[in-house]
Amino acid sequence: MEKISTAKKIRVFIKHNGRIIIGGTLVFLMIMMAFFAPLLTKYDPNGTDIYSRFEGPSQEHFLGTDGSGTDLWSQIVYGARASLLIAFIAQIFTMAIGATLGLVCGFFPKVDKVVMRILEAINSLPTILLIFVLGMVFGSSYFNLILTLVIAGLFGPTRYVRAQVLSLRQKEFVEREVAMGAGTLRIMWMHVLPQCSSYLLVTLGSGLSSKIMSLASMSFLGVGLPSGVPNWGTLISSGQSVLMMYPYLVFYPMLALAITIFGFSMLGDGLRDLFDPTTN
Amino acid sequence: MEPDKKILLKVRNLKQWFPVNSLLLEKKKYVKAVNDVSFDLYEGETLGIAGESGCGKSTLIRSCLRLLKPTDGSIEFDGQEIANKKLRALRPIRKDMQIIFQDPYASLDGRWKVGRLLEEPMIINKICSSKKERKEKVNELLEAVSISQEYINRFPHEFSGGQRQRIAIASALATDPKLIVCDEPVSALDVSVRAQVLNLLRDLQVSRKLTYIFVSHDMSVIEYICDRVAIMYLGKIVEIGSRKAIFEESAHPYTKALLSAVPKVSGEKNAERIILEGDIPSPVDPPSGCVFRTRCKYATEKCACEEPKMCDLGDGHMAACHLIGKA
Repeated sequence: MEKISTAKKIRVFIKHNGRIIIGGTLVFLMIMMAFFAPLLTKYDPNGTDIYSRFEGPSQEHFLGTDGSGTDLWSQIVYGARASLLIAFIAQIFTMAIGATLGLVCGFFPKVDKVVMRILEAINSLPTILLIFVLGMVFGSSYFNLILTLVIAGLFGPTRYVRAQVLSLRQKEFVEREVAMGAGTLRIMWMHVLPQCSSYLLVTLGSGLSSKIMSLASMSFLGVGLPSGVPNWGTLISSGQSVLMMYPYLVFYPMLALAITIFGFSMLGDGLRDLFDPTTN
Repeated sequence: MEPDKKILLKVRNLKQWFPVNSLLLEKKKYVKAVNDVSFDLYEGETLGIAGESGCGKSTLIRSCLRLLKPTDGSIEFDGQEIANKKLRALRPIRKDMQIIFQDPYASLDGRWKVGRLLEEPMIINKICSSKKERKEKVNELLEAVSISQEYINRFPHEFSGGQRQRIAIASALATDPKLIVCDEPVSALDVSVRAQVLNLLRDLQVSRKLTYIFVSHDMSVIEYICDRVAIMYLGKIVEIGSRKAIFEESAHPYTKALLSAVPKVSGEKNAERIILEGDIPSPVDPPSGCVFRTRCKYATEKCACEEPKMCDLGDGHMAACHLIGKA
C-alpha cells in the first residue's frame, strides 16, 4: 500500500466532510459570539440613546440603532446567548424525551394507547395557543420556558420514532435478533435507535429554528423571557412594526438566525452521512 | 426412518389465529393461519414444508420458534415445552434454534460490518467472552461458509445476494444451534447460486449435526434437500411422509396437483397435468369438512360434512383424505 501524505489525507477529509466543517465552523462562531459578547461590543444591549434613533450603519453603530437608539449589533450579540442556549437545550430534550417515548410506545402497545392519545390531544391545540397557555401556567423562569418548548415540540419526534419502531419490528433482521435471544432493550438501543439517528440529526437544525421562533412568539406575547433579556425573537418581532421604513432592523437579526440554522442543518446532515454507512 | 431416532421438535395441535377487525356486535373473527397442526421433527433430518403462498408455512415456523405466541397447542423442543413459556424464559433456549430468512437484504442490519454481525449472536448469548475468542470464531464461521476473511470489515450492501445469504447462514451458526429453520432461503437467489447455497446447507448439516426445517414453495428444491416432506394447505398439513413417499406415492389429491405443476425435463413422460380451479379459500372462513374440497375434483358429500383424519399409510407416511383406501 502506498503511503498517503498528511496533506492528502486532510484534503480527502475536507472533500468528504465539507458539510461538517462548514456547519461546525458556523455553529462554533455563533457559540463563541454568545460566549464572548461583552468583548465584541461596547454598547449595553438595553441602553437607550434618544439622540441616535433609527440610525443607519455607521462607524459608531456597526449595524445601526433601533427606535430607542439601542445598538443593533450589541443586541444581536447578546441576544445569541438566551436564544441559542434555551433553544438548544429545549431541542436536545425534545429529541431525547421524544425518542424515548417513541421507543416505549412502539414496543409496548398498552403504554402506546395512553401516551399517544395524550400527545394527540396536546397536538390538536394550535402551537401558539399551547405555548401561551403553558407559559401562563408555568411562569417565565428559564426552566419553565424550556419545559414549555419541550412539551409543545414532543409530538413530532415521538410519532416519528414510534412509526420507525412499528415498521422495523416487522423487518427480518429485527425478527432474527429476537430469534437470537436478544431482549427488547438491546433491540431498541442497537437496532432501532441508530435507524432513527439520521432523522434526529436532521431535525436538530430545523427544530432549533422553530424553537428560537417559538421563544420569540412567547416573548412577544409576554409569557417568554423577561423584557430585559435581549433575544433574537424579540428583536425580529419588534423590528417588524417598522419593517417598511427600516428593514435592516429585521434583516440583520434574521441573518444571524438564518446563519445559525444553516450551520446546524449542515452539521446535522454531515454527521448523518458520517454515521450512516448505507448512504455513501 | 429408524424408529429409535430422537425427536427434536414435537408439535401437537398447534393453532395460530390472528384476530381480524370486526364490526361492533359482530362475532369476533380470526384468520386461522395455522389450524391444528401436528408433526414430529427427528434429530439430524431435514423436514420440508411445502404449499402455495398463503397456506401458513411461514406462520407455522414462526410459531415453532416462538416468534409468535401460539393460540393453542403444544410445542416441545428438545424435551422442553415452549408453547407457553414467557419471552424472558425463552431467551436461553433460543440459541439452539436459529432462522434463515428468504431475503438476505432484509435480514442483515445494513449498518453493521460483517464481523460485527457475526459477533452479535455470541455477545447476546454470552458465548466466547473474550474479544480474541470471538474473532477466532468469526473467522471459523466465515471459513465454514467459504467467504474470505478479508471481507470482515465490509458492509452487507457490498455483497451479492448469494454471499449475503451465506453470511446470514454463518450468523445463524454462531451459537452452534441444534435446529435451523430455513424460510425459503433460496427463493430470492439466482438459479445459479441456488445449488451452491443448498449444497452448503447440506454440507453444514453433516459437519455440524444440524436439523433443518426447510420451507419452500419450489418442489424441485424440496426434492433436492429434504428427507421428509409435509404438504400444507390452508393452515393444515394434508400429507406428510418421506421424500420418496411424497414424490412417488403421493396420496392426497392436493399433493398430486402440486407435483404435477413441477416442470419436467423433456424426454420424461409427461404425466397428466392437474389444474386446480379457483383460488385458495379465505382462512377466515375455511370450508367445512375437508379444507381442500372446494377445489378437489374428487370431492363427495362426505368431504363437506366430515373433516378427514390423518390416516397412516405406513412408514410414517400420513395423509388426510376420505378417498384414501377407497379408490
